[in-house]
Amino acid sequence: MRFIIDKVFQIFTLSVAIFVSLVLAFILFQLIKDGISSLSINFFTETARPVGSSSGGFKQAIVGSIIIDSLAMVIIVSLSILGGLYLHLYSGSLFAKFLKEAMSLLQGTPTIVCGICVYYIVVKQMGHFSGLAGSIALALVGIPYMVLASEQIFNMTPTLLLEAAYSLGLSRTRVIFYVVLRFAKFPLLAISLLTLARIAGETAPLLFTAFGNSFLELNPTRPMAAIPLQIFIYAISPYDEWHRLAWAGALVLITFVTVLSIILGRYRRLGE
Amino acid sequence: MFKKANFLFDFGALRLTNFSFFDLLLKLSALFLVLLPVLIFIVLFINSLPAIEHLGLSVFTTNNWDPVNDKFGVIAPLFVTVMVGVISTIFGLMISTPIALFLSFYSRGKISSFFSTVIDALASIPSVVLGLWAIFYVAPHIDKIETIIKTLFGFIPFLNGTPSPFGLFTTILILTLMLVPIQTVLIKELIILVPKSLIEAGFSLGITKFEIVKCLILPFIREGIIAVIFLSLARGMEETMATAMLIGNRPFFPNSLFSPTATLTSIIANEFAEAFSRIYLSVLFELGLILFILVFTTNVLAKLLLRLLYRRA
Repeated sequence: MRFIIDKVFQIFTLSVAIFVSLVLAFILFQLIKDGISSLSINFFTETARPVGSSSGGFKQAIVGSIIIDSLAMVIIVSLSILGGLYLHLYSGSLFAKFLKEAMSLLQGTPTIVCGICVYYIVVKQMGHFSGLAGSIALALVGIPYMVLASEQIFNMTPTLLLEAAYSLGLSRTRVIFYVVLRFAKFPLLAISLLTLARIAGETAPLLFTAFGNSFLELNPTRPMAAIPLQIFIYAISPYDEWHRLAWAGALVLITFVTVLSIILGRYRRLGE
Repeated sequence: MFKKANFLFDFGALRLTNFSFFDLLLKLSALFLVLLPVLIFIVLFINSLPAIEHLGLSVFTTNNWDPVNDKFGVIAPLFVTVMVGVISTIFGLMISTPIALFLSFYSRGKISSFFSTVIDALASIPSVVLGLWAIFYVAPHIDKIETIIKTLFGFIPFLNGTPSPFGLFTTILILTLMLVPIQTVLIKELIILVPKSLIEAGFSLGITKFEIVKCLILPFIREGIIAVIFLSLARGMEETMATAMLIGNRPFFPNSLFSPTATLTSIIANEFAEAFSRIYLSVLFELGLILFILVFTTNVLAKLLLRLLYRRA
């Protein structure tokens, strides 16, 4: 009897795992099926068209996403490396503890709350929605992950290397630039790409900051479209053409995110 | 004398006795980062002041959502937010605990890493894409499941409503799917913490794997599971896009598990852009403040529990 229960439970765990894999397979299958059938050259070369015209694409959203995400990554990477270095150099100090708590607090902040705060701070002051505000909102989402991860990376610098550098009489600033940062180059790159994968799919912070735009917009101080935002707008619309575009957009987005996270799967744990 | 021309960033040259620009920069940015959550809280608080003054405690005691007449009561969305979080956390645990056990205890090698990849892939699907999938492939078929539940458990009042494609039930299903990967990873880490010697001792007594799970692993990770519950509760309550797309956006108490309703996040997401009066906008900020405090409290509870656990281990 005991052995039967044991086997039954083992099969139960296996079947739950298979069940979840099947759900994932369903999602991916339907995403690829509906995405590919609506993906065309127009999707990449045309901007949004009004309902009724059969063509129309995601160009403005793709360009917008690239601009918003790269601006956000500039903010995230520069601030997070500084924050991570602070945590590494002053580890154990009271303020470093504060910083860590602040980061985990920011990590837990609902993303939509980040969105409405940036709305008040940036959008209201500028007078209109803007891609830049979207980048700042996304940066608020990404910074805590990257700060905490980069601290771990800096802590991995071999002590032997540090001691050797200090024994040569280098100042701490130089040790940071020539030993710590150089040693952390590739892990930092990996973590930044993972953070990018994480923020690329975020929609809620963009709702009231970048706001969306049906025309191609290259100026980050103007309202801008982004892929996830466009998917959301098209998904809740009642038109079939727009639904098809939403599927194609979802396929592009998920391909980007999955490729990034599968390549860097090894570094995944550091970010959590 | 040799020159230090090979140093491109010669910040060291700017050093006075005990001062460097780089150090100042580090400290300033650390200060800035520490102030970010404080800033968020202050912004939320300042913007909710008009609503707090105007409505006072009536926000928490009344249950009507009537922007035209400046009447707002959040008791229903607040209740729904917590309920959606709690139910999907429980459902999620029922799926993620067996998977975590399977990944870390029952399988090894290629099989284990295959299912780990599955979990990772599930975690990396953006919630807006999951919402899109649910709108077109889950919602149209959900009424069949709901009818089955209704005929089987219809005697329970809350499970006896008209099936509808968008509503609590759909949202809970998708949120469960979103919580499973996070919970699985966390529980897996907890299982790894179980001392190997304990498990080996169990095996040497000749007991089965199931008994090891039941008598050794599960009791050992109990406190950790409570922390996982709080963490995923916070995730479930703050999730915005899938909820806003699926819950139906009707900010009143749900009549049954199947009826459309609204959460704090879905109200903010759907009504922020069209808030026409100062009080209306301010109420939405107050919703944000309530959400922030709610999620903050659950997160802190989870952190405290985990910290206690790790100190003991």
